[in-house]
Amino acid sequence: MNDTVITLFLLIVVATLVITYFAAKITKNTNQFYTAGGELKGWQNGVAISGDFMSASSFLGIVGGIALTGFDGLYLLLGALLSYLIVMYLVAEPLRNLGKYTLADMITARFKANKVRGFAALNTVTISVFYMVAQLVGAGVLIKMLIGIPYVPSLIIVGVLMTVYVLFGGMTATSWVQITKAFLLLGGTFILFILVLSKFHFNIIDIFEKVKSATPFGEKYLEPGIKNKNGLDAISLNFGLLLGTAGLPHVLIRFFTVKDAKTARKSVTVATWVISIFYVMAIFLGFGAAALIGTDKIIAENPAGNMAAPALARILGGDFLFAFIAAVAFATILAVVAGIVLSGASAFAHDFYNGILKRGKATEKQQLKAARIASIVVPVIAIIISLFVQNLNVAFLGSLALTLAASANLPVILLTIYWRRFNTAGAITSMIVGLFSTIILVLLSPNVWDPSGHAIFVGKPLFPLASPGIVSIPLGFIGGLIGTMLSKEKDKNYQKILVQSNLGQDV
Amino acid sequence: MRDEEKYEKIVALPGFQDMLAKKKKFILTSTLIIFILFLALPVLTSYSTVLNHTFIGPITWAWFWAFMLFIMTWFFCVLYTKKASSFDQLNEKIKEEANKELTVKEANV
Repeated sequence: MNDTVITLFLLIVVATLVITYFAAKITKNTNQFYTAGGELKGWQNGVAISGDFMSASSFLGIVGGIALTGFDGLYLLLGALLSYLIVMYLVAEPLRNLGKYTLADMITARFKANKVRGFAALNTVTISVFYMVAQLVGAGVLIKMLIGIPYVPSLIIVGVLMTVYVLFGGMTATSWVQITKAFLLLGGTFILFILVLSKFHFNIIDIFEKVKSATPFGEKYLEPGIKNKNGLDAISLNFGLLLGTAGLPHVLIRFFTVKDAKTARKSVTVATWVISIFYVMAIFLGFGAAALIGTDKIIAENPAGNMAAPALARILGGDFLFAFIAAVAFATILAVVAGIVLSGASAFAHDFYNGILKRGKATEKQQLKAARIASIVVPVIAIIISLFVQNLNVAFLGSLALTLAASANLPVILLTIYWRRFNTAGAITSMIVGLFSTIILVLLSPNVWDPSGHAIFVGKPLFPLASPGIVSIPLGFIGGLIGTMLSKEKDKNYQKILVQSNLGQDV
Repeated sequence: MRDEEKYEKIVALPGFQDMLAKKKKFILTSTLIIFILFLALPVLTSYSTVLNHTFIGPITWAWFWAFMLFIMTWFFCVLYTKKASSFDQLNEKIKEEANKELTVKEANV
């Protein structure tokens, strides 16, 4: 059996390296490196966005979450699903119209200060590193579970591969790895979905009837409240999920890979459809796992339920399907981390090096070199951190990155696009307040402090919520408001932003 | 002409103001509806049990609501695409208007 898994893993490695080889041939300048030349078609970018966003921890986590906690598992996906409407309605088109390579480009289109660029880049790097660490820790644990390679070598394999894609193939390789992975993930999920439905004669009511009696929770399984005891925490987490995507740098930079706002719109629409269809199927895979494998067995393989999807594959389609789903999870890990490496590297090279250090005057050659150095440095930092935090809860790390994105990035993005009075001081305070309030609140939260020693430190948490979104996101906005009010500076650039964000830059 | 002046002229066009007002109304209403319909679910499931009643057989109102959120997502997706293409048409007109206005001004100078 192990041979099949290893063969399929190697096939994925070879396929992605072939993609990188061809991408490397055309990645000759910074525009190619950061945005694939801005030439992706709408559907391609849409599929790539979904491939960028649907992570292995969300695939395995959602199926396991629904299987083990029933209704409460839905809260792992509903916010993420609706977050794409926020991206679509508020961010995608203005972002494409104003930006060039990075998020900082968009904000500095209005406030031309190095401080603004610096803090925007700092936020991008912080969020990217947190997100990458979450993905890497998850990847290490998963690969160990799926094929038995220990944590540290797993991490190094994933680290080397993601660095190679970005280093040589830039955004072109990243995009096509993500597109390939999205099709694999959708295909694998679809096969499992049909197999699960066939076990219940394609009758949805029948599935609900079955799961009602299949788990130790009995009827309670279909009711809210198995996992979320603290109501406010559930609301806060959902708030963060809903607003997080629209601030995630690796998702947002994908909008620079298409030629105009219209194509950006098409991309986000396609991504929303793909992600929603994937989530619908994932819900039923969770039901299938609960009814066909059983809660005890799922927990026995992994207490968080991460093995529910692969175990379901084994029951429904034998060892080959298990190997296939394991390989799909592996491809998923690679595609997501590559996207994050690219967003971190572009903030380093384009914003810190070229924008600030060289005052925007670095030559093409210097910029490309800086981008390549950064795409080695960023993964190395993330891997080193991952080596030390392997025992941290992956879901917590992931939701922390999303809350950071929603608190430190989204307020400044929205205020830059939509608020006439906003100014440089406001932009900087918004970013600082969003970033530090999230970090401080998390450091005081039950994730870090637990009286009975289940967290990092023993003691009573000073802040009661595990996810700080409901406090830190408004703080990001309030920071922007107060910073603006306290400064006498009047921004004269808003007319231009208003015109360009609506009509594009070619007016 | 200076850039600043150019953008001021465009912003002042009635067509542009009209488009902005329409867009603002559409985006604000939609976003508000999305927020309320979504956040109401965790609020209701956390603080009450009204959604635990049966909708059809074993499917409760909470599940129905969750599935409706998918349908809502698709609905807002289609709605946005439609609306946005109507804004595209307005934008084309504004660009034409702007070009006329700006070239006339430049000729006078």
